[in-house]
Amino acid sequence: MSTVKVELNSTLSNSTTTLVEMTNSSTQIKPDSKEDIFLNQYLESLKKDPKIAILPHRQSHAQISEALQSRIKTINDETCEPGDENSFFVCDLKEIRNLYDNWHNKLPRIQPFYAVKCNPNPLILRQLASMGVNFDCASKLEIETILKMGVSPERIIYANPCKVSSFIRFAKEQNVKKSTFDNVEELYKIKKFHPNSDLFLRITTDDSTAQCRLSTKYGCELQNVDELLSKVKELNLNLVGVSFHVGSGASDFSTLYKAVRDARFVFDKAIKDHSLPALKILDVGGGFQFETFNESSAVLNMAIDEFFPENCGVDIIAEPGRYFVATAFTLAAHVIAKRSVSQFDSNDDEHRIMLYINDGVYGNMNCILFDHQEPTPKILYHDGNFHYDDLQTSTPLANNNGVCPYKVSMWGPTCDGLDCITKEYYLKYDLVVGDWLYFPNLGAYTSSAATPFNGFDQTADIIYINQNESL
Amino acid sequence: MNQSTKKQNLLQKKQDSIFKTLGGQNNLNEKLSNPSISAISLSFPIKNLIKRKQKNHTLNTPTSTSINPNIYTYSLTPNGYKDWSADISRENSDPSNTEADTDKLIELYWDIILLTESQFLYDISHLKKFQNHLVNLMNSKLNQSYKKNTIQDTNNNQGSIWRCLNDNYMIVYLPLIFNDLLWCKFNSVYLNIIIPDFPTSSTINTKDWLLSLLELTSSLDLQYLRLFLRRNTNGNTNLITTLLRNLNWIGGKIIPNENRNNLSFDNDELTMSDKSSFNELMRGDENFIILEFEC
Repeated sequence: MSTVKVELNSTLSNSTTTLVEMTNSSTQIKPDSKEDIFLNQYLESLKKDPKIAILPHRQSHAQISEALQSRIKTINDETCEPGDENSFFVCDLKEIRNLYDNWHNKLPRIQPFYAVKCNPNPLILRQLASMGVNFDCASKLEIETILKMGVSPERIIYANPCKVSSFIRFAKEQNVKKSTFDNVEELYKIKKFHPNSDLFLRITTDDSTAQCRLSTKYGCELQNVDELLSKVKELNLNLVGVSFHVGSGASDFSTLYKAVRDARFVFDKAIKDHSLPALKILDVGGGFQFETFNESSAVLNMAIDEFFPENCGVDIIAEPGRYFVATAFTLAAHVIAKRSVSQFDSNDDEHRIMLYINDGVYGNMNCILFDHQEPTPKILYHDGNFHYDDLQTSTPLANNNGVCPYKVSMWGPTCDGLDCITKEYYLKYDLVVGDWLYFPNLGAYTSSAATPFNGFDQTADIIYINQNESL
Repeated sequence: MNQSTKKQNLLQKKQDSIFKTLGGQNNLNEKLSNPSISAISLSFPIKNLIKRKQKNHTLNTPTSTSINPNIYTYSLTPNGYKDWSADISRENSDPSNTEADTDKLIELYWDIILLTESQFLYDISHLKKFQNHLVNLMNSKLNQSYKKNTIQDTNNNQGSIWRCLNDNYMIVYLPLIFNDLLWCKFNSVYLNIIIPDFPTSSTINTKDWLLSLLELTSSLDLQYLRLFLRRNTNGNTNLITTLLRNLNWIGGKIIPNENRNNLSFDNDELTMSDKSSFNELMRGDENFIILEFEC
């Protein structure tokens, strides 16, 4: 339940869905406000709606399977070149087109700015650019990459929340104007180094249900917004909008609704209390995921229709990352070592298998560390057979009716204790060295940090499929 | 008292002595107690050690150039944001007035170098041996550089840049965040900083101290900041988790620890036996998580 403190204002006090009470100069939304009850009822109804559970489209499993098998057969036939046995990705470019079409269909009013940090694969970036997607950059390198593709700087938003002066100077040199801020010091830096910036005030949201929480560290509390707005006015800076980010992997989408409501509060406050020009852009951030996209987009549409109705003069943008790439990538890796260990616990002796594979958190699975992802290992090749089509080759559940009897922990190739892919998983077959696993939907925050640097070539081969159908 | 504890105490004494020396340096005590100053850095090029040599060669005639350290403070500027500024009050001060002052400074520099380089030692009981080794290594580097009258950037081994002696050493003091000093070294590209353990009780404002170090890197005109965070300490677990969770978001990346099996040495400064005993065996980066940020 919300405990967000906001100052009393006409938007909220006039709202039919929000109860507010005065506490000194601030106002606290009651935990069980009408708004919360309404939202809970709406979310419940969404969850019960069978249409919500239907995935937007089916992935190209036949082609993915064929690409995986074709590569592994080459390796098994011992006709491969050195290094071919390394882990590799299959990337379905048609999936990206499908995801974009789905975005356009479900969120027609929202212009996506793809978060480059999520996966800076050049082919993906070019495809997204050609489809009209814009870009959210967090570093100089990302800005350079996008500009080199011929994309106009107007299509970039620079959203790093930890801005060094040199970054701001760089943005000015490159004529990248859109930028977020959440504190007074940043405003002063921007005033000195890039005074013509188009600024977005980043506000905090309730991200307590997100797997990757961003508001915890970044964003301005609503009760501090006045200070920032008055500083914008004093420094004569160009505030164009408000942004927020509900965090990645959120499960409670009422936060999206509340964040849009809070943004409206700031839009109104800027005009009424600070006589700033009307703000023109709402940035609803990221955190969108394929599996929950129907639900999150339904809540978001409801919120923007209520607080920013069509023809209100406000453009809406978003910063999706994983939504556009996660399901487009499948990673294949093979077992390079196996160790059996006996472990004694309070109840019984337990036999446990440690599998080491040729990829891990320092390679293409750093999403485990950075993004709280839990990759799903599935058996691809064992005992001379391919098992892509078998949906029951693995499970995280100990109680699986004996379908997957082999309990394993899975580790990357380094000797680092952090390089753990899963501490406990259950497999259908007793894998041996040389067998292959695959990890579906592993395109977000995976290869991005494994790009070549300092002489380490950490990239894996990528086999692209459905290239012609992606256009 | 066992050997390791003795050596640990010796390092602690050296650190205390550095604090004491810092306090005596041109009103640094006053600066440290100034609440508007969030951080102080003290750096010096290893060339300063060469100048000491030069002085010896010229029959103890005082050198004309200062070997004083470069001191920067991080504080709120008139522009409205915090930035690093050179301590200009020192510019006109008489550098190393006396032989004793110079000796003190040289001792301070050596202590800083030793304390920085010894952070990667596996076993502190080998400190004395390592100290001798380090002195030889530095002398060799200085002699080479002295003859050429310029210090070459020896930062060739990109995978393990912490192993190389750098051309500049630095200490940073962030009193509001860390109880201990931050040991640093840099060449022309990377600023390497070994982050001390966080006090377990402290509330971490990661953004503030990270931003101050990023700005420091930028003000030194370097391209990358590398942070070395000790694993497996109570305070650092939260810090590391916080940083990793936000790493993509703030434009950082994790650097794999070196693969010690693949180490290759093309450095001519050492004999093979020296290399294997210290560089390969006695020191390593496994105890650290290494993060890199573009600046």
